Amino acid sequence: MLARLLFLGMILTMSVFSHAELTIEINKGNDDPLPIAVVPFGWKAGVTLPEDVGAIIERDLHRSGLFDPLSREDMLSRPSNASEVYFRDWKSLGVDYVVVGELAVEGGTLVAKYELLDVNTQRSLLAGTETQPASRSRFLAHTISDMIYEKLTNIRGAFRTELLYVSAVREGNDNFRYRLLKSDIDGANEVVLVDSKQPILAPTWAPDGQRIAYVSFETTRPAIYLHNLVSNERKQLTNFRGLNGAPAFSPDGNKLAMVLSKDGSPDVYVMDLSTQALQRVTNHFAIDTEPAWAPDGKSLFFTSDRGGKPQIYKVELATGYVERVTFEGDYNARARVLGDGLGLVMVHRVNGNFHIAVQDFKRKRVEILTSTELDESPSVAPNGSMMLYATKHNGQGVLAAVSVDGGVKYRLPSRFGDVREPAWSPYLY
Amino acid sequence: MQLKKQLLGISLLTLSAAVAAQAPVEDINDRNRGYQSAGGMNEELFQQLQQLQQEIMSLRGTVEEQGHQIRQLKQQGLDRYIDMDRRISALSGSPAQGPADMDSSPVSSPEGDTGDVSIQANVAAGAEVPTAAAAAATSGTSAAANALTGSPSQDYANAYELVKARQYAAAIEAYKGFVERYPNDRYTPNAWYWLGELYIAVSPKNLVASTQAFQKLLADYPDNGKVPAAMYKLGTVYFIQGEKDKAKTMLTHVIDRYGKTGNSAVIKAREFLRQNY
Repeated sequence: MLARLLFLGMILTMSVFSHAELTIEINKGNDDPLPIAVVPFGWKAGVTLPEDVGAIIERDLHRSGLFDPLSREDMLSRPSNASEVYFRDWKSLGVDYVVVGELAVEGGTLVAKYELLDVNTQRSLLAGTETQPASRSRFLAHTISDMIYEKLTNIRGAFRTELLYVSAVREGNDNFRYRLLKSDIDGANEVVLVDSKQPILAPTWAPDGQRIAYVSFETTRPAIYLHNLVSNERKQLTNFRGLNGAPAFSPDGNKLAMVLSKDGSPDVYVMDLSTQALQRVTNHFAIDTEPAWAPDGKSLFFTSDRGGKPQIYKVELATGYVERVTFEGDYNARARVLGDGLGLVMVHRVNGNFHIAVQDFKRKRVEILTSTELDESPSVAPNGSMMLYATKHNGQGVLAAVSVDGGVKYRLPSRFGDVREPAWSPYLY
Repeated sequence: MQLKKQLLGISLLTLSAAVAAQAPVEDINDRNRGYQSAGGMNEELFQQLQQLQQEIMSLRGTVEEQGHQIRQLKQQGLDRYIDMDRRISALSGSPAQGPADMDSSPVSSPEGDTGDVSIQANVAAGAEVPTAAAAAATSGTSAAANALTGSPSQDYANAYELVKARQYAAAIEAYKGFVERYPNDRYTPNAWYWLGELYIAVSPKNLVASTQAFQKLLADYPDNGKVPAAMYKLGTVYFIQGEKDKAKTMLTHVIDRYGKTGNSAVIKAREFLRQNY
């Protein structure tokens, strides 16, 4: 019974958190990152640029963990196009790839010409021109990062994605100010979506990247809201007695899985978003929670303590057939399916510490990815390369990222207080 | 689902039985106390229900984990078998060496024994690999029917390859083709022996055809190195057919005739007699 209460506690707990703006701190890189030099982009004199495009690209590539950018002080020259590049210089600096580029402002439009060069073969691998309104210079930089990343890794880049998270600021003794925030994936361009005196939980993206769902206590009771980011319209979807939680959009975006306790113990339901009709998916006196869709939309993974301890189960929607998925360890919860459907990311307890772990469906092995304690809420990037999770650092709630192979780690510490519940967006462009 | 309902049903039944058993006693004594203890009893029932739920949950957890362990063990067993079989096949040599082995060691033919073990093991493991075997068998049929090359040793090797791949139906076709095409080849007795073996390895067994193949070997090649093994096998086929006396006579004959040679067929015949008579 105690274990069960603790488990329920985990679901309901909301710790103290405060407002934040994210900064990035890389604490573990890949063992063998590619040495690359992103030369500061050249630009015509007399124009003030709002952002250092080259620096944004450099930080994007560095954050992916797969690249080791050369620091600007070490560069022997600063070419801005391929004809100015002396490959021998770059070779002597131990660099494999060089990115050069030029910026120009034409009217209100920012034009970036860039080129990716292979130092060893002295060839151009990629050359292109990107244009954006001057106000979207960061976006332009992320676009170039995506191009370079995909060219060199053959993996689609996810630098133009966004992040949802929740912060709380203490205002007076027992009062908190909760905010649902959206930012670029590097923490910039933070926008407050919801500002409330009551807790906000479990933000999640629809696959179209235009709608989100979350749980808000603004009516003093938990309710699930659907929020359109384009029109900024909000709609309260549920107002049932008891728990209303853990929303998760189906892969086609037409349905929302959720946890309701209106019929007794918490069970998983699926709501058709056009008709708001509810389908009960699980029916058990134990706690069933944290649904996550399989990529084909035909089954749901969920956490249940029906076997005495929280474990991940899978239920087929058509038949209601339930099968247990995790067997290693006495606590596995909050599963998220990797984009390719080949594995699960989840919270896994070892020796009393909560870590983020990956379970590969084929090899059936559980690999622990994080070395911190009290890790929770993993959220996977749409290209499956990295995931974000919430953890504690120096007693503070911070967001952290880890590559799916565990090789790369970085933290996004908040400048003030606690942040939690990260949700990585799908591809937006 | 069904099981869960039954379990719940049972727990509810037990509870109501408890109510029925206790309630009247309280009523007779004192109405007031009866009410109080009815409340107390509800609480107790609630506690019991919770205990039962906890118990069911932890049992469910154990059942799930044991089911998982059983699946793992089965898989491990299968993996181990496949690994062992692969090693044994490797030891018994490539098909090109196979026939040579049989010739060089006509009496205590290790090759024959190995094949025997392999087939037996497969029958035992048959439940585990039905799809693979079936698929192999069907895919093999066309391959086997595919023509003889004209070189006896090559054709024999091809057929033996099918045995190693456990495509028994296909192997039968191949050996049948072999004995028709090369009635006087030095490998013909071995082909008859394998036909005998294969007819009891395929599903369904063809005991009559197996008997005929072994008898053909014994009648036409009485001095062949495969004879002791064929006699032993024929004895076991008779036994399966229910002809126990005939089987006993045949096995006893193997022991009498080859007892001093140390042939492995003798050891097996003794073992078989000990276990079945």
